[in-house]
Amino acid sequence: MTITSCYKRGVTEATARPNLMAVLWLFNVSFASILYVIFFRAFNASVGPSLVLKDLLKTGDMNILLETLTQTAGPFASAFRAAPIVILLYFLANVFLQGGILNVLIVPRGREKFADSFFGGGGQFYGRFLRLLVYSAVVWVAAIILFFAVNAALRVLGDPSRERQMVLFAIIRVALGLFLLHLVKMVLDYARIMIAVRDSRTVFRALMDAVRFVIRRLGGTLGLYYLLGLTGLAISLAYLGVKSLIGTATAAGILTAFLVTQVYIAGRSWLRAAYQAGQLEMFTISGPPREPKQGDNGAKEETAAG
Amino acid sequence: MRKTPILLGVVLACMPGITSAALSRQVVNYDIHVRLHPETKTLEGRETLVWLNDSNTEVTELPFHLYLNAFKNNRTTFMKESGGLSRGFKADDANWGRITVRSIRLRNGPDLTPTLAYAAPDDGNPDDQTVMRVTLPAPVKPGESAALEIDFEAKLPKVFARSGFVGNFFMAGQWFPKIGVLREGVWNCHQYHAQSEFFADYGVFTVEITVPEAYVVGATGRRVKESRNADGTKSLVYFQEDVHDFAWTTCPDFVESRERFTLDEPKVDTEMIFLVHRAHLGQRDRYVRALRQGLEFYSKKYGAYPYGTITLVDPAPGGMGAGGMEYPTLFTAGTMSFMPRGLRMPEMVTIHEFGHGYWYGIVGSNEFEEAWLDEGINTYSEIKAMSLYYGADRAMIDFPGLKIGDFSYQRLATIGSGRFDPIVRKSWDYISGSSYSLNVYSKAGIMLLTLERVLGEDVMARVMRTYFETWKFRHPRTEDFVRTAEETSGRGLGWFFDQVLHSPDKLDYAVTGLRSEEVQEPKGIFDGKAAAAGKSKTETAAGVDRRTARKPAFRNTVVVARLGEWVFPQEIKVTFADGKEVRETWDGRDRWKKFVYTLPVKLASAQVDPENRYLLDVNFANNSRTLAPTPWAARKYALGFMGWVQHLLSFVSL
Repeated sequence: MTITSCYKRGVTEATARPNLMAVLWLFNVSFASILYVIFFRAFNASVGPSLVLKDLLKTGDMNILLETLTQTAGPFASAFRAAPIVILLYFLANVFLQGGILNVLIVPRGREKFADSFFGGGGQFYGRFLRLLVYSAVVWVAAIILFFAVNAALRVLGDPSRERQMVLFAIIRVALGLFLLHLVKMVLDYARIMIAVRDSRTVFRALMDAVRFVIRRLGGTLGLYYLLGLTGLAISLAYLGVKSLIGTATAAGILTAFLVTQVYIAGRSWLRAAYQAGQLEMFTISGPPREPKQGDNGAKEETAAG
Repeated sequence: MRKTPILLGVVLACMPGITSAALSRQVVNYDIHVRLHPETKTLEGRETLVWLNDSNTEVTELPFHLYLNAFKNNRTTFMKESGGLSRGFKADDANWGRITVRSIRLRNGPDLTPTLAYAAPDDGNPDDQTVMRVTLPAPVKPGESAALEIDFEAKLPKVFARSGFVGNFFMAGQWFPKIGVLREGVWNCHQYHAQSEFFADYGVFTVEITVPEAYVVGATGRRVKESRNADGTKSLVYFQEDVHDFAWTTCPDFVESRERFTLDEPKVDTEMIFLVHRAHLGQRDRYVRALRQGLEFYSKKYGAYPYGTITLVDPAPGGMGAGGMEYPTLFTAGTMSFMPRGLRMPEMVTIHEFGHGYWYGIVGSNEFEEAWLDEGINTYSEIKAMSLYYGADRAMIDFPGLKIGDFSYQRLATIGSGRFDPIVRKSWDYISGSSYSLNVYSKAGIMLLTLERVLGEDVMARVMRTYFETWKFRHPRTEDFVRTAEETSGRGLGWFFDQVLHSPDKLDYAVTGLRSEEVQEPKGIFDGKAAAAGKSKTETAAGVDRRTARKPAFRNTVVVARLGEWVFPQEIKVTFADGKEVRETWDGRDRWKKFVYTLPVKLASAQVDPENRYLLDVNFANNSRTLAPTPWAARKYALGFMGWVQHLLSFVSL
């Protein structure tokens, strides 16, 4: 019941805040646009006004595309070199977004202007969430040690001449890696919620509290996480289905495909807000009574608890 | 182990269906008895070799390949060159391999063992024992034979490069002392190198293999006898004429199946033997289909498959180091239990390795010195076969939304083949293993596809058939292929082969300039007279008189350039805005050439080599230029790239 009520709460809260979805989408598209420009210029510089372009526009044949990329790899290298830098910058901006999302969800609707709430929250929690990233190394290291320990055990148990067993072990490795990755991400989500809800400056303590919180309510937290994950999967499948129907040999087709992608990215932004809202609800109904934020007067708590 | 090898030879010669008119010179006649000891991974062998001096020179010394000694320690030439890595598989320090000749003597003659010495003719490496020589007490004169009896013991390495074991799977390739090739009075017997394969003379092989009873065996040739022994082992005798090597494999987990392959034109009737590891039985149908395709393609294109059997070996899991290797009438393929059907690696490897039965198997070029003659020709054949049976644009990878052809794969490799090595070079002289592979396989294969487009498909088919017919069961060289191509096509091809075979350079022609400018009316003073608008006559390449045309005229300029070093004659297609086309020719020698047309229409595009005949051209994108841009192509891919970035950012932020 807790999982479904938190899930419903998350979905409702995210749907009720289209501004949040729009800002998250805008951040995403702004950073990605930098790489669009670099790639577009590189493409034009390398291929030039060639007849090959007509083939590339018409068919999208991977054979032609790969050959073009291989022959004229130089300019594209700049786009691929720029990508990690843009992703790193986005990652840092994302720390800001995390504070903004949580503040918007905590502050009752209508009480503050959206912009004040979002950007105020982003600025208010930025330093703390950045410190949380550094402290999270403890949790990451623990997860990595566990991963390598299981890996070593599988290596000892594995027999290279038993192919099916080796494939099964490979699947276990990937599954374990993904599970640990999401588990740590989930712990960090709850740590951020604790910091924001309590307006706490003891970041490491919040991290440890989050670890304890997740371990004590492993079924509930994981259940909510994967239920929302299934929602994301459904969104992705719908996107892939629609995208496969769109031909991209014409300007109209290319624009339509682009718009569909943006709708999908907006959907992912909505899901992100739903995750935060659902997990906030999970923390609120399962966690210890939170310490009131200064100037809160209890109104926020009432809202967050529903 | 049988005691009467000579008697067995006589018996076999009397068996119906075993003997036929010899297809080759049969310089060697091997009779080998070998016993596998699975626990120690060793082979105990006794070899009788009758060698015919088919030259005009007296011979006093006999060299032998001892290939398994390449795996003896980390100082051998093979291990130093490879760093203990072959195609991504690593040598196992706990399982070295070796071959020891215990004794070698002339039949009914003196013991030659005291004269045994190791040699390193290629690099002088004192730690390399992959070539041994023995000195004869008396010369073998031209036309005479020498009969030798050799006792040897071999230890198979953990398989990472063709031969060896993993678990209970054994692949015995290059496993016995094999005599070198006497060519024009000179011994050709190279060391085993990381990047080289093999070279040997044709002859007759009779091999008795003894293994534990539970083991399933596959080998070169036809199984002619099988017997159970009192010690829980079984002995199987294999016989094959007109081959230059003998390989065998065994594993209790092989599932053997046999199917016939017949063809009416040309006449082929052979038995396909499949030894598929039980872990891969779900992939068996892929092997069967691909081998049928290979037999059909090579028989129809080059000549009838001449042997009575062809054995496909599927290496055990963990034994892929033995995979993808050819031996006469037997080859190793390779797959995995969960190999998706859209990933056509098993099909490609099957067709490629079967194809080596022709290129090196039947046409026995020297893989040490001119590897392109087997790998390049076989890559060309493989591309054509894979494209024919699986689709040119999806022969290698065929998933929804992701399709890649064999041709594209090989062309990408050619583009990336560097400017260090030519196609013709001794295998161990390439700057790196990848340079060897890219040049000898991909570039040579694409070179032959280019030749096919230069000569035409029918002429090229005749060239290949003539080369096969002329050189089957013989040892051709590069110049023999070139001569065959020139004689069959009736064209001088020196300009082509001299560049593509012996120069490491590249072919790249481009349209570097395309302009259409309106011709200005005459203005200013001409010999003291002011020009009268519309009264001058402009010379035009196409002979258009502007006064009569009464339309604006355009000076259309096309510049084509040679960006690479190779010189190929070029055709240029110039298209105008009204759809009309002009075809120009250029000998391609200068660094650039300009074509000018003054016409009432603008240019639309220009293209060198418009039919893409020269597949060796490393950049098709610059072969053409349009006057009007096509911005939506760039937008399409830039937006696609942006979409992927957005997905990534979404993942980072969740």
